[in-house]
Amino acid sequence: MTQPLKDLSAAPVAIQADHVNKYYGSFQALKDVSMQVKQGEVVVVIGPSGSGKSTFIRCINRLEEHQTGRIVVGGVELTNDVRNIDAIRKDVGMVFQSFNLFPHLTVLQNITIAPMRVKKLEKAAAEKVGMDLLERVGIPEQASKFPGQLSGGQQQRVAIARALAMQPKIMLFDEPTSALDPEMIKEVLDVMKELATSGITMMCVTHEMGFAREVADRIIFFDKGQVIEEATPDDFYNNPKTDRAKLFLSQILGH
Amino acid sequence: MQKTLETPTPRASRFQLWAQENLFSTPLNSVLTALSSLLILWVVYSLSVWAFTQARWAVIPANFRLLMIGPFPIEQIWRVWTVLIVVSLTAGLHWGSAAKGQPLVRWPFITATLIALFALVTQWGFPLSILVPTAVLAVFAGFFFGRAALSPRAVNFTWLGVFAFAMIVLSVDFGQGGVQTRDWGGLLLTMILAVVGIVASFPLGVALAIGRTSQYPIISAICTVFIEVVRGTPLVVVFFIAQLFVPLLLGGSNIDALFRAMIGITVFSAAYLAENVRGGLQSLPSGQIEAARALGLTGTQTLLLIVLPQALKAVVPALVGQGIALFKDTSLVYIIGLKELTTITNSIRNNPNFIGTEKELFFTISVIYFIFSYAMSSGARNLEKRLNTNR
Ligand SMILES: Nc1ncnc2c1ncn2[C@@H]1O[C@H](COP(=O)(O)OP(=O)(O)OP(=O)(O)O)[C@@H](O)[C@H]1O
Ligand SMILES: [Mg+2]
Repeated sequence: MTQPLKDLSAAPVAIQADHVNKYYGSFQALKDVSMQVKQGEVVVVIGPSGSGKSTFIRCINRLEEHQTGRIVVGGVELTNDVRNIDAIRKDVGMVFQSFNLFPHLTVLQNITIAPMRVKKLEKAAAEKVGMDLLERVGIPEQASKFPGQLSGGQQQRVAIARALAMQPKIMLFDEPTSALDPEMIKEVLDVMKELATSGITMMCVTHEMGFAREVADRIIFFDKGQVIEEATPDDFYNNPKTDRAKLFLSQILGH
Repeated sequence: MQKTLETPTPRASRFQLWAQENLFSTPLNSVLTALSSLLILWVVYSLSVWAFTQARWAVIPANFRLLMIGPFPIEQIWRVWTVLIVVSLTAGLHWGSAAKGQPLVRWPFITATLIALFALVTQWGFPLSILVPTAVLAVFAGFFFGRAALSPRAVNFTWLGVFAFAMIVLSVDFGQGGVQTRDWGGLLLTMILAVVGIVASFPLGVALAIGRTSQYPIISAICTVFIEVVRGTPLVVVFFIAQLFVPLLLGGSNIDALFRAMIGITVFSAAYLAENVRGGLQSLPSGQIEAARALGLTGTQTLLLIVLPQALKAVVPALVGQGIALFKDTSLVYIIGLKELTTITNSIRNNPNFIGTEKELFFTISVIYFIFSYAMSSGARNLEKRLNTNR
């Protein structure tokens, strides 16, 4: 079950967060969050609903703006400087709970739009990249369909391919399987597992324990906007240190 | 439904089944069916009695040229013909390029085109006996060429060129005298006003909608005020204001009255269109924008490639309704003395030779308005089908 331990001690830092605070109006969604993710590391973020997991992960590519503290991604600090934001977004792919595929574009167009418009790749080259990625996620035969004609699992695999088409160094996943019927979860997790072993940096909000135990290097547990606990998957699931983590685990594991 | 399709029943009984399911399914339904049949029969009967025994249809052929082109000078009619043949060709191209690999079923489109062609048959003589078949041939030639070789996008650009060409051919003096726009009239003028209004109000309306949802308060305020003021003003008043204020704004009092009317109808329609488009913009889930931005697309790219296509698609029915309303609203330019279809009809009715023929006249032009409106809405249904990506 457990993977061979990667040695990440010498790896460069991919994501660095220092004392990050984020408010929605007067409500504080993130409280003094600090963490570090190394290149090639696979981090799973878990925590109760409303604990700020989405908020944090969305701060990393600036879909949300933090108010104080520092977030540095791939050596570039997130500020209001649009060039920094653009640079970071080029290197960070994101997969959403609700897929967010573009319904007016075909599957292949969904994947090629960013390489063509952002990287200015030729159409033929972009389509080559797109078909290779569809091959990788196992649905090359769906290339010319529209997202609305695909099952949820297939749509999420397209969304992963779409994010990968920009050849990001970091992939963010926000509950990628939560909107899926049980029989489709596995096909998406399989793609994510393959990705996790490819050496890409991954930060993934998910409650899929099997996935976490198999491929995560570290679990980060959020509660009420704070990082409460960080541990290896085995440690976290077998010996949670904090009471809140224990309570949370007993709830999701149903005992 | 499914069952009636699968069972191999003869035609008559299939119709019986359909009728049973749809017309006589419940006692109430049967009563409604009977009552509406009676009503339809009564209307059709009364109209037929009038049409075949009382109506004096001679007024229509006698005034057909007026109805179609108004006071356009007869010796300049070659201009209209040139435009019609070019339009026929382009309509054929359009029809053909849109019908790639499909059978010839775009009958509303072709009907409308043919009506427009026959519209000018005032008396059968040398030029017409050649020109009408030429125009019909142009439609079909365009169709087969368009189907074989043209993309719909190329045709859209062709239309813009054709429109500019038409404006020039219809007016400019090539040596033997030009035609004043005040001599444009009838269906021709109605069409020109409608086309200009629909085509020009589209980008303006979209821009206003985007402006109104803009994050910059000044832009948003300007667009909001503009939209609300125009929407709070009757079209007739907008026409008057355009007559009075366009010269003031653009300088010079000799600005073409038709041009002023075009500005009026464009502005009016754009304000309504903007609100429709804004509805489409707001109905878009925020996840679409987030996904686009996360991929690295810029704000402008997100707007043009992701947001607008979906927003516009969502409001196609509303936009077409808007276009149809505008087409019919052109009849209000009578107020500023332009002689489009309705104005002309009214003046024919006041001609002492044709006293008492308003039924025939207004019946005829209502059919003409209907044909074009119906062609538009049926074209829109095709468009919706084509744009539907959730099959
Ligand atoms: N746009 C917003 N405006 C105001 N409050 C918000 C907004 N987005 C999130 N919040 C609040 O911030 C807190 C954290 O939300 P977040 O979506 O990050 O939680 P989460 O851990 O992802 O929860 P879930 O598991 O339900 O997805 C919640 O209390 C939420 O109500
Ligand atoms: Mg969340």
